[in-house]
This record gives sequence, structure tokens and C-alpha cells, in this order.
Amino acid sequence: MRQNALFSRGKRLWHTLLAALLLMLVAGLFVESHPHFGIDAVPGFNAWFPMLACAVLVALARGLGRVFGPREDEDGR
Amino acid sequence: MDAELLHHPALLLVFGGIAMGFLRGAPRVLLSLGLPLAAAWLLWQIPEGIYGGVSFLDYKLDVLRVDRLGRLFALVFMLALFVGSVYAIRQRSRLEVPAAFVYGGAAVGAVLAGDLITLFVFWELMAIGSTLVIWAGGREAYPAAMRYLMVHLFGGVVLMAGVTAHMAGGGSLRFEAMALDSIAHWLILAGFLINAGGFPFWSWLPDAYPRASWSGMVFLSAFTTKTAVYVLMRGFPGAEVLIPIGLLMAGYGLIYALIENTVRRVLAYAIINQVGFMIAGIGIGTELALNGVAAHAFAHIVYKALLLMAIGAVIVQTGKRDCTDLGGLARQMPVTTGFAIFGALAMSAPLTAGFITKSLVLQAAADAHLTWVWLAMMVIAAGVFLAAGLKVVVFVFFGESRDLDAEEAPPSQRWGMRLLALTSLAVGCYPPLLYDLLPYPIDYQPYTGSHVVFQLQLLLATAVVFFLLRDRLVRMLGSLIDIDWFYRTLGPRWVKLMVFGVSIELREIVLFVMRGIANLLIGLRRHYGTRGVLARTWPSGSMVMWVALLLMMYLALFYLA
Repeated sequence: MRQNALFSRGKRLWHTLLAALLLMLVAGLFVESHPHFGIDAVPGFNAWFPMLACAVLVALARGLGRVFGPREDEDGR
Repeated sequence: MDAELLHHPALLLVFGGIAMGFLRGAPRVLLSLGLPLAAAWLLWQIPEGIYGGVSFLDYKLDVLRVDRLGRLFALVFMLALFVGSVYAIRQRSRLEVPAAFVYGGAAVGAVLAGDLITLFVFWELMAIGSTLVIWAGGREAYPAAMRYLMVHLFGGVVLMAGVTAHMAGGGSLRFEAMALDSIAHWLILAGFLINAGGFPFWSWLPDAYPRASWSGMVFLSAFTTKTAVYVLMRGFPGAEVLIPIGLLMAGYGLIYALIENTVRRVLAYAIINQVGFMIAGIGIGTELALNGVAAHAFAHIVYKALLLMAIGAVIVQTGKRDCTDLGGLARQMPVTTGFAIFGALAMSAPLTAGFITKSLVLQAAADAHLTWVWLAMMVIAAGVFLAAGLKVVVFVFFGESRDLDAEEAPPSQRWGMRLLALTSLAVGCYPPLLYDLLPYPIDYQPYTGSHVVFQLQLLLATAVVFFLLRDRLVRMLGSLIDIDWFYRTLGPRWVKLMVFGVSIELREIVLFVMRGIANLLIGLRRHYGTRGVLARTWPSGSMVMWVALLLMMYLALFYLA
């Protein structure tokens, strides 16, 4: 199957993404922040927390998919 | 009756929509573009206040209430109607757009209703209008439209029961904030939550909306759930029970959206997710939170409609609806792809409406020191970008090309998307455009260094996770059993089993039970009936008895036949 333009240049996109994230992490050290809870004062909280959350969500969805899926009516495919 | 009622924008939209049903071609299009603008102009002319004086039974109805909250929602609905009409110019169905105007007009009427009876009337009209919009999706959509109508009529009955009990208990007819101190108010809350897609009545949304036509779901995504958000804001601001209810909806929407294969069902689950986010914000209840919810309702209507328009264009071009059938359309539909990417970013990226609205609610949770709520909302913000933004854009427009036969979307569809993207961009770049319309005075600066950097961190980190887990997400694609399984699969299966499929022995058991019930009733009649020892005759008593008997006999006959 033919690869789309975006993914034939997938490596470059991936590197850009990582570089941008790194840049923002560094920038995060220099901006003035107002942590409210303590946990959000940990450096890079806004990066590692969503990462962790998304990974857990995907794992959770996978688990639920085994229990509640697949459905066998007209909506199940 | 106040003269202002003749200028009620909702009536203009509803009757204009009905008139539109008799037109076709250019006049219909012109009317569909002119009506929302005229209605917005009318609304702008009416000074804040309460207008009514209409007598109904023993009540004086306040049919029209104009204040900042109601006006904001009404204006957003008119915007959705206008942009939706632009997008739907090429819609062949003669039913859909007129029905959408009745539906949207009723939604405007509901958010401008000053009393509970007027609210209820518009509430029911919305159910009818939206059912017709789904129905216009074709023969396949008909059963889903009927299921949808059943759920919403049930919601209307619950609401009516609550309103009646509220008034019987001496409550005011005026629609104001209520405390959850009586069963009446709980019923009203339940009626509202059914329209919002709250547990356990959430599966109507992914069941019905994605079956509408390519333009139908754009209209549907705007009105019903946002009207529910409005009535919850007006009726139950700060009701703490809304926080867990909202977060549960958000979590459900996220998980189901992650797995779902049909693209517009993914977006339907994402609607429940974002409405859950808003409902949790209403539960926080501070002025900042309520401002944030109202603002986010606007941002959500805009970016969700934009995404639905892009997917609608894909459906028109390819006829495919599932992630697994789509891919690589960026080559054939570059403009649509651009708008879809913008729609995904408009959920929360800086310079878009989503950024300046979502952060209000998050700030409100932080100010109220609700640690867990704040963390959950962070998860929601990241998760929905992953599940509904990145997933939809990458799976449909990038990735493996399926060599689909498709062309760029036609100009009318592109204009619909362009208007929404410009709206989101304008509000994102110049927040006072929206902030000045919010219900409470606001002093919040969204564009600080930390806000922008932290938000970009969140979005980029989510994108990194998405690309790491992309293969896993592809393997997960499917469909999950939802609450609707009970009434769409289990219920019919049970009835079929009872009526046709039972073996002789089982039928004997059923008959035995029926006979038992009949004997019980005969026994009851002996004691409580007209000549019974325990109940001396009076006509209503005997009538109730006979009705009960007849109903039981009917039930028995139904199962035996």
C-alpha cells in the first residue's frame, strides 16, 4: 500500500515533534508559574502527566474492549 | 401580552423553518441564510428584561427573558444555524434544513424562556425537530430516529413530572436556580440530564446522531446537549452532584471514543466527553467556572461542527464512514484536511477559541482547590485531543492511503468550514470578542507565558503518545456494547423468546405464572372488589379494579396470542 506524504516523511515529523516538546520543556523552566496543588510544581508536569494519563486511558480502553466488545448488532464491525 | 413577543427570535426561526419546507432552490437557500441573521438582529434589538403576560390556564407565562446568559447561547445557536445552512446548501433533502430551523429555533426559545412551562414547550419542540433532522438521513436512520424520540419523550415526561411537582409544592413558575431539596427538583435535574447525555441515558447520542445525513449531524451537534448545559447552568449552578456526573460522562466518552471505529461515532462520544467537562464545571459553580462553561459551550459548538463538516465532506466524497475504510485523503482533499487539522487544534491550542475557554474552567477548578477535579480535567483535555482530534485527523486524512476515489469538497462546504475556522481564530486571537458576552464580569488573561507554554507541552506530549501508541490504537478499533444494548438487543430478544421461541415446557411455566397472577387478582377482587368485604362500593374503586383486570387480561392475551 502506498504511504501518504505525511508518513513517508514520518521520521522528520517525529523528530520535529520531539524537538518541539523539548523546546517547550526548556521554556517551561523559565516562565513564571503559579502552582496550586504541589504536584503541578514538579518540572514538566504538563508534559509527563498527560503522557501518563493517555497511556493509562489507552490501556483502560483496551481492557474494556475485551470485556464489552465487540458488539454483534448493526453497529458492531 | 407584551408587544416584544411578536419579535421573538425563536418564533421567527420556527415559522421561517416551516415556510422553508414549501420552498426549493434559491429561495430556500436565501431564506436559510437570511433567517438566522434576521433573528440575531431581532435579539440584539430587545433590551434585557422579561417579557410575557401570556395567560395559560391559571398561569402568566414569561415567554421571553433576555439576559446575558440566555442571549449568549441564543446567539451561538443562530451562528450554528447560519454556518450549518451555508454548509448544507447542496443538501438535497427537502426535510432536513427546515427541520433544523424548527429544532434550532426551539433551542433558541428554550434558552430565552423565562418560565418552566415555556421551557417545556420548546423542549418538546426540539425533540420533534431533531428527530426529523435524523429522519432526513434516509431509511437507515429511521429506527434510530424513533429510538431517539422515545428517549427524549421520556426525558420530557420526567421533566414535566418535576415541573408539575415543583409547582404543586408552591414553587415559582419562573425558571431560576433551584436547590436539590425535593423529589421535584431531582426530577427536573434528571430530565435535563437525559438531554445532556448523562448516565444511564447517554447511548442515544452515538446511536442516533451519526446516522443523520452528512450535514444533519452538524446541526444536531449544536443544540440539544448545549441547551441542556444552559438549563443546568440556570437551574443548578454549583450543585456538587454534577461534578461526579460530569466526570463520569467525560470518562465514558473518552474510552468509547478511543475504541470506536465509525468516525462520526467517535465525534459523538467526544461530544458526551466535552458536555461532561462542562457539567463538571457547572458543579464547581463559581462565577469563573460558569463563565468558562458558557464560553466553552461556544468553542465546542464551533470546533465540533468544523470537524463534523470535514467528516461530512469525506462521507459525501467516499461514502465511507469507518476509520478502517478511510485513510490518506490529504492528497485528494487538501483544503478539507487543513480545516480538519484546524478543528482538532481548535479544541485547545493557543490562538483558537478552545484555548481561551477551556483554561477558564481549569482555572476555576484550581481556584476552588479541587485537586482531583483539576487532575481529571487535565486528563480530559489531553484525552479528547488524542481520541477525537489526532485519531480522527490522522486515521482519515493521513496514514495508509486506501486509493479512494475522492475530490475536494465543493465551495459551499468549504465556506461552512471557513466561517467556523475564522470564528474560532478571531475569538482565539482577540478573547474580548467572547469574554465581553459572558454572563459574569471577567478578569482573566489567557495569554500568559505559563499558560501558553504549559498548554503546548500538553498538546505536544499527547501527540508524542499518539504516535507511540498508533499501531495499538489501530488494532483496538471496533465497537463496544453500550447501555443501548439493553433496549436494542436484550429487550427484543426477550420478547421474541417469550412470544415465539419458547419450548412447550417453558410456555407451560409462563402460563402457570399468568394463571397464578389471575388467581391472585380474583382473590383480591373477592376482598377488595365492589362487593368485597374490605371495600364498600364506590364507583371509582370498581372502575380502577376493572381497568386493572382488563390490563392484566390484555397482557395475558398478548403473550398467549
